[in-house]
Amino acid sequence: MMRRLGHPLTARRFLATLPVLVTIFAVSSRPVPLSRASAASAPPRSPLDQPVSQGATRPSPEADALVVVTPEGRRVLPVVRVDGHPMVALDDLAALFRLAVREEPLAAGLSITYQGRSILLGTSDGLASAEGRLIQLSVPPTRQARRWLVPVEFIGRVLPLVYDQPIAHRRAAGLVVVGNVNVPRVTARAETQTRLVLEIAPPTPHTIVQEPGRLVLRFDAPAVELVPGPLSGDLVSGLKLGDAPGTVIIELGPRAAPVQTTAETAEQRTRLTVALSAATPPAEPERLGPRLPPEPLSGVHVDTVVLDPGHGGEDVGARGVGGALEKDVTLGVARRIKALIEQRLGWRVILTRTADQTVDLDARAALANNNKADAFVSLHANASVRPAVMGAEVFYLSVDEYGDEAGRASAASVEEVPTAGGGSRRLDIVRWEMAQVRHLQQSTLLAETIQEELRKRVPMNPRGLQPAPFRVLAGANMPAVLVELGFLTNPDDERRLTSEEFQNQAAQALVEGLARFRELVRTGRGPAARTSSGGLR
Amino acid sequence: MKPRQVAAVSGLAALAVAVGWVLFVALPRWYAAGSLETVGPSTPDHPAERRIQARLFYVAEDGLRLASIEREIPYADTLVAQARRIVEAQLEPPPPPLASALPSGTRLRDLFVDESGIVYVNLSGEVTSQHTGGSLDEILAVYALVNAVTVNLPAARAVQLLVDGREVDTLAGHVDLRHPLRKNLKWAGPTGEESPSATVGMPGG
Repeated sequence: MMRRLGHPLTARRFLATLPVLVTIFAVSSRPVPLSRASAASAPPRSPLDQPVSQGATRPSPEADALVVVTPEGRRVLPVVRVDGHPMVALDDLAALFRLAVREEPLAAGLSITYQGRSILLGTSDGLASAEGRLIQLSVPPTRQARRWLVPVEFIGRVLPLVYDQPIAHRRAAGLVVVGNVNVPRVTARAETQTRLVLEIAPPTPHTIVQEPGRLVLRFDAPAVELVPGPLSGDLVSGLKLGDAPGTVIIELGPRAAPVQTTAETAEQRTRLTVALSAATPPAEPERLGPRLPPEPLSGVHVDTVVLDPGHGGEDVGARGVGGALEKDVTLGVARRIKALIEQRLGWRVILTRTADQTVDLDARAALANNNKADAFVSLHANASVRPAVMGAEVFYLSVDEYGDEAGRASAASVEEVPTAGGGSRRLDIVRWEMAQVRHLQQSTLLAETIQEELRKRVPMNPRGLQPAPFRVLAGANMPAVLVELGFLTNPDDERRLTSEEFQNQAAQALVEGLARFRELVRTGRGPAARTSSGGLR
Repeated sequence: MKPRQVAAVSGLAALAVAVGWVLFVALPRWYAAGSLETVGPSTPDHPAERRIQARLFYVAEDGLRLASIEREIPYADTLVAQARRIVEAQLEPPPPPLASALPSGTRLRDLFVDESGIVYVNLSGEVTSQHTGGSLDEILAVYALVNAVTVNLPAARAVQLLVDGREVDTLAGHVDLRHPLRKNLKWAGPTGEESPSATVGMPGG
């Protein structure tokens, strides 16, 4: 009987001990790395002993390269994508920039030294400290096949802190410019159906060679950054960098007749106009794209500003201690700005809502895009759990939060699409939800001018100007900012925000800020329409 | 077999069964129950429970940024369970003078992690309906959660916030929640005695 019962009983006994075994295994294998707590429960280990990748980080075979342009010449810096992040080997950087690299297990980082100046780069958190500054990289360094890889942004954001020559990472062009090398930026856009304008900044000697079906521009420069804008009709079928360094190729469509070019230089840039001719220029709607500076040849350009009174309808926004509603404050100020701009500047002003109505966030940016606005200003009033917080703030879009999506968007893919009559044409494709990435430098400038004007007239928050991942700005395909006029949760601010005096002062500040911004862009003192570096510190 | 013998054998057999039951069933059961109690998921006030230090983020006194403090939270065996403990702790009210960046009444409905290390944090509707409506508070609410998860769990690559099981554009009309968000200590300024950005993620630091 015992014998017969023996088998099931032993099995049961074994099963009964299982939870104990499982628990012991779980504790010893420590599946959850806990950054600080682990130090107490497990022997401390060097961060350099950590596995090559954390979580789902895995190298992918997809690879490309950066071109490094120095006074000595051009070098190619291989770029590896690790889990979607463009990374470069620290060894390659060390060779290129003559850096000394040392692993610092005690400091949990890598020490990177150039002529006595050091960077300490945390291997687990991607926090770089150099020359008294802390910079958070989007991803930490990764070890791959005994080489350390660092994110590409390290070159433009951290290395310049210790290097003795300027280093500019022009992300959209895949270029790293070291020292005082002239790498002109060539911005192309169709001014009319038959006129292509190339803006070359700074002015650079160049030759133009007309070849069958294309024009070749050869610049006296080791490299060129090409910023293709919208092209017109089918006279120009494409625009690309030539194989030879410093050349740009304009591909002409089959119907384009011989062309004539004229160049004029002013204000630190050369404007090269390529006049094309065709028997019957096709009527084609203009595509979305940057539209700066205004078009003097295609009629009088009227500046357009889209003002976005935040919230509305069911969405009341923030609520003041005394009952004031954000949606009312924003509409009141927007109306005053509209009246002032129309009176003083004569620009076209469009409001995303003119009454107390619900408007979708996407519809707000879409209205600005569809009206080809030159600037988009979203108006808001803030709230805080701390009643003492007060003052106005100006925001532009921060792209750190979007990771690589922003990089891809700023690199605006040019795609070939088939046309009705056969053949193909190229379209500048920007993902709608990240349209703003291409305008970040101008948006920052607009935020700065508005902030300066506000500061003269209304109380400011200590954090007066900052980037933030605001949804309404992401889709705007023009310089765009969000203004928080004050805090409704602060009794003084609430009183001000609902007063006519404050609303007039705020409106005045915004009008001055917009006017100064347009002037800076018009005279070429502002950044170019499309930016090379989407990343802002 | 005589009736007495039969009775004796039956008695012995019954005794053997009883002893066997005690040895092989009752004791292991009792033992297993005891073991489970000490190592399994337990109530927070159980004395033998293992706890860890987690860095949690709250609205600083000046209201303009997040301040971080270390609090003891229950240890969990898996990434999902530990992330859940961290978020639950983050939703608890902080010690004064810190204030919670998340509206009171916000509960963690669910939490899961995908294979690429994105942590999906599904919050109850109070996170939206009870929000002050300010963009600053919205930023602080979002990054209190994102940082609490990503700072304490290096395997958590990014955090996707959900409300009542659904993807949302924003919590209160400002911060873009259409993408998983990575750790961002920009909104977590120095706490006064130490800078979180200088200590976070440095093992043993």
